Amino acid sequence: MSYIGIIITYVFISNMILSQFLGLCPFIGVSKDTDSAVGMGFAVTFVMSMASLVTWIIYHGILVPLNLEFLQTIAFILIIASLVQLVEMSVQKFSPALYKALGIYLPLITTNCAVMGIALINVREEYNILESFTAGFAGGIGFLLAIFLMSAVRVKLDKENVPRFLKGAPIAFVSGGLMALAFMAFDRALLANLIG
Amino acid sequence: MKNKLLDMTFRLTLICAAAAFILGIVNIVTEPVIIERKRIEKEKALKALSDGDHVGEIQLPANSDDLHNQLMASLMEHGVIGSGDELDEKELITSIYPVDKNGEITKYILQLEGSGYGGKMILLAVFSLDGSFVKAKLMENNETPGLGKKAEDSLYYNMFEKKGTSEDPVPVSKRALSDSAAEAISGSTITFNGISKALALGSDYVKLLGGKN
Amino acid sequence: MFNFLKGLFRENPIFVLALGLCPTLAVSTQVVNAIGMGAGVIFVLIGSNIMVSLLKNFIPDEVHIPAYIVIIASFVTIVDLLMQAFVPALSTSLGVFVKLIVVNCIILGRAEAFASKNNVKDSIVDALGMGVGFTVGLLIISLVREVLGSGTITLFPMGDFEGIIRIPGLYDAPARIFSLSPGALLVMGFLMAGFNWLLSIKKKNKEN
Repeated sequence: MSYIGIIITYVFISNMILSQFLGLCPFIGVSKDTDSAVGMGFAVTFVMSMASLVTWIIYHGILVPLNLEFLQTIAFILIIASLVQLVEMSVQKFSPALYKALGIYLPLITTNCAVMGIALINVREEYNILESFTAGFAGGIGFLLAIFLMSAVRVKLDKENVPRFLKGAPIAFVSGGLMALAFMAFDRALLANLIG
Repeated sequence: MKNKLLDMTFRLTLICAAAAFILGIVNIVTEPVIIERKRIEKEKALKALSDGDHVGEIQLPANSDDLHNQLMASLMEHGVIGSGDELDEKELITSIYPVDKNGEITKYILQLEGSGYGGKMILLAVFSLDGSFVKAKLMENNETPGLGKKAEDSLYYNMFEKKGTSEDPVPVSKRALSDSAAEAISGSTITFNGISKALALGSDYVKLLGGKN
Repeated sequence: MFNFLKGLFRENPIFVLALGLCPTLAVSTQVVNAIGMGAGVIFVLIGSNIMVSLLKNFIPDEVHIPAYIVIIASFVTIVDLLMQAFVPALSTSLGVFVKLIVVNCIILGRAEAFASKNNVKDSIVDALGMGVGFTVGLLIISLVREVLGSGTITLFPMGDFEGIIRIPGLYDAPARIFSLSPGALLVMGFLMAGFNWLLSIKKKNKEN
């Protein structure tokens, strides 16, 4: 698939959150206000792109030649955890302002299904290194888009008179469902018509 | 301070090593089972598809520019790819099994790769020597249950039956289907596109093989 | 007993704590997937809770998260390999979501909040309660989604029974949206609201 195809696929068609349910916890948990949602989105995008790159190198450079594919899960999660740690430390050192904005979200990314998910999808789809990186980046942007839209909806929802039992997470899920319904318009047929 | 760091690293390494060791043992136990199961599964599928006729040795698509160009020309003619487009049959046709009756090849079973709604799909399909479709089985896929997953049902392939000869190519768009068949695939157009394109490629490829071994 | 029951209802991981949602919604298109996923999570939860509880004095505080992750990932890999070898059909339909148990927040959450502070016996009970609570939640969602979305209930094939119950009327004209992603989110939202309602009734009864 072409790079543009990969970007369109992971931003709109197979959106991490709305169509594959990867990264739902922060989608519901960190979408209460727009600023933190966007901060989380950028942090996830960065980690996803880096993780796609590094996991590809480790998987194809070490695990496959040594016939150790069964260590995939353990290796990927360790890579992601150390990557998150590394990002946290370097951001803290070089840009305290950014750290202040992103700091609290960074540790949460380790257990974000979207990061692990894209690393596993890259292996399943047999992407090459650049395709993996593109998929990771596009997946992150898709995550950012969904969580940003969701936070905008929730800010409005706060002012509305929501039935008591639906308040909070339930109404967020229902809104997410309606958003996913809208995203279904981005069909793979659309992609086929756009780029063949 | 330094000792503490060392101690920490040591303990963490120990946990990792123990984990890797245990996983190694589990892998030694399960790996042969997984490989054997995959082999049996494929053998069973091949046997069912060949109607009990003898299935020959596995082959790979020939690495020939001439064949490739002929294939692309016929795919273009049948509307499988746009003019000027190319695809690599060596990636999409992953294995070829000749089926013979008393030493004479009657059919080919092709393992084809297509892309569906949930990503890669692997399909085993049988074609007669004139390229007409006989039957198929969808192997690995990640399609949606109730929609694309219907392609796992052998009835799904009725709409392709006997298609694929030079006069009557494999339908690759909804427009080429009967109304009832088009109705049946509504909601899973992407799966249909992936499967039909793979079958069209297989059909045209078998036509070029023409019974040669 | 208390530790077991709290996971089922008052602290139900899915409907109350809203943990471990990604696999919940993604695999809930068929009942059989929910059962398989539930079994996998229960196994990993029990295994990791036992190990974390046993090793709680051995694991240094500063690096406890990586250590827990390694333990959890090992159990996930074991489940993954065993499923591939012995229940291949389940393994293919769960796909990458078996491996994604590793980032299921419930497991790391229980290791951190319970197993690291309690003895082995209590940790097992806690894991069972949480695991069963997760499985029950998953079953409810998948039942609603499969019945409405495909008009079937898919179980294991046994003997003459092919494993699929077809519901007359719904099978021919299912509301397909429920097997697609928007349906999952909608069902989840309304089930959560229903759970809130049940909990509030219970609370009221207690007060009276």
